[in-house]
Amino acid sequence: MIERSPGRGDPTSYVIEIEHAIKEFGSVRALDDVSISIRENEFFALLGPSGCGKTTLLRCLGGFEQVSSGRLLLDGRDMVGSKPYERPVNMMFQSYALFPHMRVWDNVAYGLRAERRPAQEIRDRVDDVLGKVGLLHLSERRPNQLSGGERQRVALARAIVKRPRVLLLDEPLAALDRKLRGEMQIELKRLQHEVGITFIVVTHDQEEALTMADRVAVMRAGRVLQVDTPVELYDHPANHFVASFIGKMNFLRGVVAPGGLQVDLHGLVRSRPSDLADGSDAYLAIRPEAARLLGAGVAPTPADVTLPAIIEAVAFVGSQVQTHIRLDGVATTFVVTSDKRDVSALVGARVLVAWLMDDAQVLAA
Amino acid sequence: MRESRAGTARWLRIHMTLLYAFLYLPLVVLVVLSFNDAQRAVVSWRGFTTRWYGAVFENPELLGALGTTMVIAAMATTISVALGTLLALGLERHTRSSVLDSAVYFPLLVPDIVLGIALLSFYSLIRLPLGAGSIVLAHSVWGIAFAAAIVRTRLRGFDRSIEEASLDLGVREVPTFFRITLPVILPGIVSAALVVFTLSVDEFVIAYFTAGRTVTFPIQVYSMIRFGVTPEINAVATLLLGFSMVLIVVALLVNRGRTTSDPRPPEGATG
Repeated sequence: MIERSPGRGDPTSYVIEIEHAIKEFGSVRALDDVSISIRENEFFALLGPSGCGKTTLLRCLGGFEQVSSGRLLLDGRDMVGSKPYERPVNMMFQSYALFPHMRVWDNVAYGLRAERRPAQEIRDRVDDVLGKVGLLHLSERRPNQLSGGERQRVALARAIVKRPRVLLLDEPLAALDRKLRGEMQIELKRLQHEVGITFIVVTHDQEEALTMADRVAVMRAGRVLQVDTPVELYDHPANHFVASFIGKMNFLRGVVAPGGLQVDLHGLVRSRPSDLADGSDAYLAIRPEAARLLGAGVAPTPADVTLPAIIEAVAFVGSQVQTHIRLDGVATTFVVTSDKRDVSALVGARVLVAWLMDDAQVLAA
Repeated sequence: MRESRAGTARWLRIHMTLLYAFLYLPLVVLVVLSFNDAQRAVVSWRGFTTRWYGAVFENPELLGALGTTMVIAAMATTISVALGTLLALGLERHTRSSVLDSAVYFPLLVPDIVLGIALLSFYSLIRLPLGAGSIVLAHSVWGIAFAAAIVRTRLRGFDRSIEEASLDLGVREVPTFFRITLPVILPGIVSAALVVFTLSVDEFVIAYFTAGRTVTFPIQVYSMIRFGVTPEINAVATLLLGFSMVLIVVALLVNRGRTTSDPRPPEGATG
């Protein structure tokens, strides 16, 4: 990872510390004992399916909701109870929330005028930030005269012009089409590096989170399941949910037994031991690229786990070949990917699927 | 087959023509007769004149009543729009009771005569002196309901995150209302004001009950008409017609022309 120059204090210090945050709406717990620390200049993503509490957490940080209990520290000071206009934090809204009755330029200048900055400074800073997002030529337009992508940039410019300590982004790319979304992911990352502000982005799109973020918190049902770098999340998911949410994963359901996992109908699959207690429900998880197909006459190595299977479909997806197989006695499809451009495997053919014992993980259900 | 369809179309066109004639012919006759150079408002055409319009502007009683009506309408409009807007905001954002919600519009459905009697009884009961003040209050009763209904349609497409964005950018709640909320719903408020003003100017029944000795414009016209429909009355009515139409058309244009929040929601955006 690239070493960043320190912004304020030392680079390992935390800008945001969320400590045991709980948020209840009536009897529903939207946040259930959430604790996360976010570093200076970090691009941090809150990732999870809808209703997991990620947007609630973001709104608590912005001051639009108040936590029921727990602390939200910004530079070591508790923000709980303070209003949105009292926090050095700005939000980019999912709907962009541009002021429809103001020109682009006035939308961006709004926050600086609220601070009663000198006119010359406002002019310079607004022009500068509009230049950064490439919209200086559209300053005179009204929001309804802009395309979706342009509006997104205005919202971004308006949120960063005040140079907040932290920028909160609520599904910033959800309203864009697929192609533009890909470009903006890189653009956001470049901009974050350029302005040196801590970004906290909420997204339900795992690819978006992995592409942009330095670290990702995976959430479900108000709880944080894992906080890690994208690589760690991919290579060492904490449990079945994280593994299924991040990338593609094959699972074999079973029960933890001494020396491996007792898989339904298969007997013991010897695999890397985990810290799960014997007898607990668990999954054996194998990434599609970690598995190989062995044709007739190819012998497995001693480090391999092998299971018999039948080929169901072979799909060429550009950079790789995906082979869908069905393990004997297991209902779910198992996917094996290979970057060899070989589509000669026959549907219906019997094969052995093999993976190195060390590449499979035993994950809690 | 084709011929019968053409036949149906012709019948529909005749039907439509008759219907529109039924709706608008009386008004056309009224306007035409206001330019008739005849002493009494007879149906025979005696040549073009604008003298009846001149007579209207030289009638001190009529002008006095018109002045009274304008003041009453202006005051009733101010009260109605201010309270109606707040009511609309409250209903749109905080009411969970659908009964309370629909109860707001009930005064609009109550027959004028019933409302007139009710207000007269009530004002007598609380010993409110009848006059211009009581008419203002009476007109505000349905004026508030009207204003609330019109402003509310404007609020329906209102994206509340723009208010949150304003708070987020460092502006407190009250200035946010004046800099963001109010400008965005202003077309609805202006439209409500024009409609309430128009309705107040030509409202007769409720004013008649609650006027005491005050003479409003419609009451003055009514007292003139008891001595027969004169061309002067036709001229007055034509002026009132033109005035109402201009205000209503302006109200419609204002409310339609400037868009509130973005008309196009961002594609694929969900909560």
